[in-house]
Amino acid sequence: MDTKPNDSGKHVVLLGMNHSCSKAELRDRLLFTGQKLEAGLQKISQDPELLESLILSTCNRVEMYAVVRDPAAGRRRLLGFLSDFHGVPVEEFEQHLYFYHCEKAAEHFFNVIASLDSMVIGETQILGQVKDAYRTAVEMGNTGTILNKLFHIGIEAGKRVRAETKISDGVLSISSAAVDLAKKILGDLSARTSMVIGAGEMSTLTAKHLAAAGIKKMYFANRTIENAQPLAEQFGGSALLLDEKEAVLPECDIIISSTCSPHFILTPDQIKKVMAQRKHRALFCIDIAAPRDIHPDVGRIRNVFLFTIDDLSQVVSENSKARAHEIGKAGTIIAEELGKYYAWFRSQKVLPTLVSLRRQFEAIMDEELARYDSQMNALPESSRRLIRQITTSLTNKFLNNPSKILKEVASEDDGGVYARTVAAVFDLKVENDE
Amino acid sequence: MVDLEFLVQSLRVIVPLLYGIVAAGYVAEFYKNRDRHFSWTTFFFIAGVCFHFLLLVVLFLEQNRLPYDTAFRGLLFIAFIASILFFGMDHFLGEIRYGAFLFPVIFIITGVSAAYLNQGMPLPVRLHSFYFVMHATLLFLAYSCFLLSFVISCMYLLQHRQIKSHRLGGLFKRLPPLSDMDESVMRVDALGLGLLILGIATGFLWMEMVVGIPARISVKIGLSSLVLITYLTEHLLRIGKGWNGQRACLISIIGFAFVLVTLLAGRHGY
Repeated sequence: MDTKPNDSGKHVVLLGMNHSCSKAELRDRLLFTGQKLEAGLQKISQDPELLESLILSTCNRVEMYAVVRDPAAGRRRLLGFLSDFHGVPVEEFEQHLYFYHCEKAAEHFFNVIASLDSMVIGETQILGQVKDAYRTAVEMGNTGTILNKLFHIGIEAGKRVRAETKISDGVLSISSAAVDLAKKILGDLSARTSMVIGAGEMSTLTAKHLAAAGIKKMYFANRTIENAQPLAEQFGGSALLLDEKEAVLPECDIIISSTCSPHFILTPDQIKKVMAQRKHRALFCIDIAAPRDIHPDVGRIRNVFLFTIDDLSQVVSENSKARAHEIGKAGTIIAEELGKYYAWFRSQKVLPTLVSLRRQFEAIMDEELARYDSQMNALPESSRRLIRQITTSLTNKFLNNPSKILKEVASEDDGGVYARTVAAVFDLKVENDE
Repeated sequence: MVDLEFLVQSLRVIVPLLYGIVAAGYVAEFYKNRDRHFSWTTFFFIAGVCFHFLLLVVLFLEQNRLPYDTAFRGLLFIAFIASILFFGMDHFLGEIRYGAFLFPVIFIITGVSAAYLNQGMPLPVRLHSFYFVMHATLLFLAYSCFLLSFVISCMYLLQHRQIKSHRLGGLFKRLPPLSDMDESVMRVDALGLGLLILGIATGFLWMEMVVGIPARISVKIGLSSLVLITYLTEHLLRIGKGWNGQRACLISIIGFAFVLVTLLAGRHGY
């Protein structure tokens, strides 16, 4: 399908990176979080080449949507903006980017919002994240007709996918899988204590899920207290140095470790000692680090349940497999909603023609009314109002059918020809930027 | 006049049948991974317990003595108490998933018991004693607790195996959390142990005060002691050495094996 030819020459473009083509460390440097998002939107809106713009920034993706006249120039502008704004040289991230325009951009966006492009297919967070990104862009005045329509139809598609398919049933992210597992081992988490060693993205996410599950107490251990303190404040826990961890380990029921240490942070001897102190109450250990932080033999200790990131990924992947057949159904919904967007987008080709046509008819109407102005003035006010109403109604009726048909034919490939024919027949002066 | 024999014959079919339906219902709920506390299964469960109670009453009326004078009648009583205990656990702890494992066992027990529900031998006069009734009742109540803990222990070991081997399939999703099951086993075994100690104590009292002979070692007493030692060990090791979870459940299962042997094979020497 062709959504590109638009008499006004506008294109939707998308430049971004996600979890499948870039590392979290790189994405972290290019994220638009909190104030940065608003500052970014403000800066991007100042670029005259970018007619409309929107930034979608989540843990797993950084994407910029824009409406431009020239896709190649739009790409350069967005690339330059991303580099300038974050102070990261283009060569450091350019190879990790993807760029789509026109129908490919719309298709990608619909897959994103339907969570088909997510790390965990069917996850529900993305819909809310897209809504937030859109709301912020609207509030900042960055969006216009095209992005508004794209996001309205896209959000509707996202809702339909979740309501009409089972794609989100029993969905698990790695961090939520870890919390589910913790519940299966320890039961109610409201009386449990956890320790997060290191401050990686995944351990922060798991801590977030644990906090949401109502865990009683959280410790954050790090080599430097400055790194542990923000997390402790965020989740209402206690920050401590890595060397101090052994003092509180016996009271911890869950240990999440994700340091960059080249050697083991927790050894079987340490854990055996801890288990003796806690009278062998169950201990759930999650090792998210690479190389591993927790010695594999720890998993052999009685009542210790050790899971690595690979184990959790397997759980998530098996869970995703069960929902794989729902992807087809989601695809059908996306195709339907994309069809609506394409039809609308193509109808925009004839919009300037329709506006000119209406203006011409209204001008004729005003002209004719002015011609009989002296006779009209002799009539009472109510009669004059009635005559004006009748002429307006006649104009609308004359234009209603041609407008409808023109919009319909505009969704076909040769829609532009019809628009030009109408313009020629009525001698219209079409303004493209209407 | 109500025909008690006819009632017994009818109820010995109805009760296992109802428990069979209840077992199927709880297994279906378990398979569907649902925790519905009120469903048609609950209705059949209540009906099953009511008819079960009626059967015990009719058996009592028929012979004018407690309906656990034979091993199979005893099992019938144990199954009844275990059902009541399950109801209590469901009501107070909100744990309904034990039903999927408990009721198939209860179905088998009531089915086998009903099939061998032959009339017991007339009881000797010395067994018509308050102490003996207390002794037998307390022991059967204890055994009911051990039956329930046996079922939960099996579930625990299954879940433990799933998690330790990182096979987190359908069974893992459906079984309750390990800590909840461990706590249930501890509570039910503690209750059973208390009842067992009281049952054995009243047994000694009965021998001293009614039979008039001091307690002497018999197969039954030997096996009962083994049951007592097993569950006592479980609790002492739990408290002293932190033998909870897998090890406690294994001991609980061994303990129930001794219970079955005591019940079916053990005989007092008098």
